Amino acid sequence: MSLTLDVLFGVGSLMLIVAGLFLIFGMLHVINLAHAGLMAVGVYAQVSFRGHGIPFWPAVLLSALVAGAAGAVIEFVVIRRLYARPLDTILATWGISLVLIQLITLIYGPGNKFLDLPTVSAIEVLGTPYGTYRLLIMLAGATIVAALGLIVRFTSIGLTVRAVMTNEALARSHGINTIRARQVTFIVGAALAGVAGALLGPIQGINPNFGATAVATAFLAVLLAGRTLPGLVLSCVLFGATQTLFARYVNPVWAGAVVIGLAVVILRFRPEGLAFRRA
Amino acid sequence: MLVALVLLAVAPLFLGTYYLGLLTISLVYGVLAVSLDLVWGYTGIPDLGHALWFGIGALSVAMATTKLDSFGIVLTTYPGLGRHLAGLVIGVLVAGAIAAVVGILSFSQREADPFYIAIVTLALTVVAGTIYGQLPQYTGGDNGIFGIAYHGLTNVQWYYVSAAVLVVVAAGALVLVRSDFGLVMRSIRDNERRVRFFGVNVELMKLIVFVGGAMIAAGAGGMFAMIEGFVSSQLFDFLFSTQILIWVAVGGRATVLGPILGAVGLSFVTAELSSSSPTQWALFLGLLFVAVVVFIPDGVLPPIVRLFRRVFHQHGAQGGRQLVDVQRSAPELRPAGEPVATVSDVEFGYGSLRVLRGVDFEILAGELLCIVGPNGAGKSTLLNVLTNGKVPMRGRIDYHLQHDRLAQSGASIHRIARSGVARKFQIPHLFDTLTVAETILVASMRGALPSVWRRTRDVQVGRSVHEIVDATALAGRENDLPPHLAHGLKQGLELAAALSMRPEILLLDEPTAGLTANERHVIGEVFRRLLDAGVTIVLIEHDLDFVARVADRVIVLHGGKVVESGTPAEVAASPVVREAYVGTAVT
Repeated sequence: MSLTLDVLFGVGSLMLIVAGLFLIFGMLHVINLAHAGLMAVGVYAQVSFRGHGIPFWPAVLLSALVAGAAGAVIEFVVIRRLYARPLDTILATWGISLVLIQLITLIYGPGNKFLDLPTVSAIEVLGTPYGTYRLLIMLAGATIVAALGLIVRFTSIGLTVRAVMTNEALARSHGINTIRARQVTFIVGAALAGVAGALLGPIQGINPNFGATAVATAFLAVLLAGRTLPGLVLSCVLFGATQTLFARYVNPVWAGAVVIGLAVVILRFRPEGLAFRRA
Repeated sequence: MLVALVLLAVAPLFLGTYYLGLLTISLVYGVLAVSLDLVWGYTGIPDLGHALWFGIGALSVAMATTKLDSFGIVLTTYPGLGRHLAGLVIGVLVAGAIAAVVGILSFSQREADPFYIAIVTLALTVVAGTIYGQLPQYTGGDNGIFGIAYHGLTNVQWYYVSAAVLVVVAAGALVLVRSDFGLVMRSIRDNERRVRFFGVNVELMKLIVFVGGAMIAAGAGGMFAMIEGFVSSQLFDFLFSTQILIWVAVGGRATVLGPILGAVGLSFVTAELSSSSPTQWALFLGLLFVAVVVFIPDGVLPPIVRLFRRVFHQHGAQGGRQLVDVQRSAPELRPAGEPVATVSDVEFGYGSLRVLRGVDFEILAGELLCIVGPNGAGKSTLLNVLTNGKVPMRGRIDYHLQHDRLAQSGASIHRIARSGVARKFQIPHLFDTLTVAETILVASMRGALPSVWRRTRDVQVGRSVHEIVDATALAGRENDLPPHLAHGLKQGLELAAALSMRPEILLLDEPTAGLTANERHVIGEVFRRLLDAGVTIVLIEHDLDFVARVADRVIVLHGGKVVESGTPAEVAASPVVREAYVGTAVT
């Protein structure tokens, strides 16, 4: 049972990380390599807020706002000018990630920081005690992804999102402010990255390169998702499970490499990833 | 450039040992930057993990010249030149092999995501960095391997070796990018999809360039190991990969010299500043990178060169090209009426939408066949299926060309194009940095492997191409770029390019769209002459007067099926056709 829970945790935390990336990639066709930097912004903001005595969960919200604000600036200064140049966007967001990481190093120093868990209790799940916080993270990841799906499918905002995603020019001619839509999407995606950073902070080592190692896996998961939400869930399950199992039974370091290799091969033979569209 | 060479030659006289060493390594970085420029700047392959190849080259030298215990501590060193050179060569070959695997995996034809290679190379470099620490018995682990320098040369001698290697590599790169091969590289970068229809095997070309770039980078890595004497995971990781990207982006993509300046200049400054304020410098570099990518995507060098030219009243455009006549014997004409292509019961669609629902017809040699029909009938889809080799859901298409018999199903776009099926697109899809003559040259090569050193100045094309060029007022503008051409001229270029492929079947999608009445008349005449020369023409058209004038045969597509076929007169009189155009339900 504890293995199952570990696997579920791997999947859930990956979903948390990937949510913002997926939103930005699916909506804007932008591979946002600044995601790692934004996660770092989130976690360091959390460190600061907690250092000022703000309770954990409100601090997470504030950290999300900080990350969202950073996203707004990035979108305005950089992303907006690069919509016609997708490959340059990859480079520019990569550069932005570096900039963010260096800024954080300047402000906070390169050493490790620590965040306390908001709760150290454990809950019994089907007879096995498991850390409450880890369960909360799983819940958060699943909830955010589910919320994304529900919003996109069932609300008018979601309709706008889908319209802009499928045919921007046409959406614009229907009176949808596509510039605003893109801006909001990027900000929300950035905020989600901040949330992921802030929530994962207590569990992972916090240094300026926080999130950099998860980036490659996260991106492959997004590419594998084929821009559909079920595809995203599937790829997170695949990656999370493979990584956790490999780490447990073989070698934690190789686990990351194996997952990447798996994704690369799948994408080669199925460029649309794990998207199964109704034929 | 001469000035630079002179400076290079005399530098040791002015620089102390420290700076000379710095410059020597910077020159090695210059070689590395050139290799990335060829791969990314000229061919458009975003290799985000270029440091990987460099690291492989360095590691290979280290492994060949040392013996490590299981913890990565150096037990013995073998300092001989033979060992070093063997390591270098092996490193180059291994890098090439791995790059070949990555390339084959990444450059596939169907719906290839341009992001894919970027993410794969990024992932590889991330993975390499982590794996490095896990195999200390080969790599020295987290500390790396030290003491592998080759001491048989003095500092000054190493400097001259580096400089010489850089000059040779740069000269070779300049020859390559100016040659016909370089032209095809650029055409792939500018419009990969379109150039396939000229017969270019994009996958193969990309593979060649990618592997070549990796091998040059590995050579630079080997040299680095021999000069600096160490290798560590830092040489593999994504931070170093980013630095190389910054050198190329800031120096100037696709200039060869720009990246060299970027590499030498920036690494020099980095060495100075990284000891005093590494974080601020890294921050500045990151900001510079973002700024260059967003605001000056061409890099720093091209604007400087333009300024230079203006100041010294030099005008570029060296290496202009022109179109000349080719002396070719008249091709044997096929007996008219033989089918050159057969479409049998083809069904095709996208997802759940069936567009073609059982199309049957033949294309006969030497005829001008027009496909007409109301919008949504499937005309463009039919043309697409004829040229892109996508497997239909049912039925088949077969080509019976003079020198080739092939089934369409599963054939690659460039294979179909090479065998003699040329296509002119409705909306001109051209190449931003290729002149008129260069576009026609690439098309006329029809996918043959281009020379890596020769630069064709006289583009040999047949009479029909000259006629189109004259008729559409392209004459005299052979060295202009597409952004400077009006729409009609772009259409003319599209047609000329398609014709320069010497096709057996020419497929045109609404060729008269946007043309004046006079231009339509001229096009009609050109088509007649093409028919006389043995080309079979298939048109999609809406201008029914034009169709009546030029067509030998007309087929009418409606609701994904051929509802009528015959001469223009027969079709015009057919009640079925009238119903289709006026509008009745699809049965």
